[in-house]
Amino acid sequence: MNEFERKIRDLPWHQPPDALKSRIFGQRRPPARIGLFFDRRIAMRWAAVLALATGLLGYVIGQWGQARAVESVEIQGADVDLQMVETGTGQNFFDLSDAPGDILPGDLAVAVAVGKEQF
Amino acid sequence: MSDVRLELEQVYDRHQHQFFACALSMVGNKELAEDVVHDVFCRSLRLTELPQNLKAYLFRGIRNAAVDVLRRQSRVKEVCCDDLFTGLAQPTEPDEDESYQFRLAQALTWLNDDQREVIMQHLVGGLTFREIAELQDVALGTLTARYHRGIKKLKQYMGKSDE
Repeated sequence: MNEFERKIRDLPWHQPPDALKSRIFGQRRPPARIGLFFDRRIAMRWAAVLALATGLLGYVIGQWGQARAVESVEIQGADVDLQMVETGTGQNFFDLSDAPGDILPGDLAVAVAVGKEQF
Repeated sequence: MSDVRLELEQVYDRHQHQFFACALSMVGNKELAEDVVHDVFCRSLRLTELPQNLKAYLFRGIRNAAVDVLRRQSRVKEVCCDDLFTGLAQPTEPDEDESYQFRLAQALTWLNDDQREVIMQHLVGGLTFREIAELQDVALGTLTARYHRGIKKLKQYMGKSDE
């Protein structure tokens, strides 16, 4: 190193602050494996792709789970109006197999009280 | 205290001024230079085994981190004397030493980035040309030519300004 080079070397460069050493060595960092996992940096576009893929996967899983779920509906009670029509025969029929049958699954108990009909 | 931590701390104590000056000469800002050095040492603390030439390894890390910082900055910053040096004001009285140092510092900021970088790493960082060529990933001949062109420019400027 000649005189000229020495003068360049000895220029009054800014010094690192004392706090820098404590910033580096003073703090305990998490163990290497955990630190490496959480400190990993990825590009924004990959982060966006990852977020989108996670969202889609969640949606697909949700749809699949919903399709597999057993729906059970319990009807507490229902009022059914019956209209009695006198046919003139010995027996009267109450046909409930169509419309009421669609909305009231299962057996339907019907009690008919014989009294005085009013028309 | 682990060996890695101990060794890094020793290297930091011995060469902190060189690491900081080299980072500073690249990013041209004290706070950014601090961040660069901090980042490189914190990453190195996670290593389980340190490389043989630790000093050169750290200089390479500092260079890469500084390049990342410059890439993230949207505008190119002109480096000036105040950014790099402390207590260098334009001399008002004809003090020969002070004036020479000021002009030399100013001339250094006028070099192109590649020339300033190799001069810094060689003269301030104390790295050999071979080490610098490896860490910058350029041919040794290219690197030495760059260095000598930089030194020649500085001498020309100092010679002219003496006239």
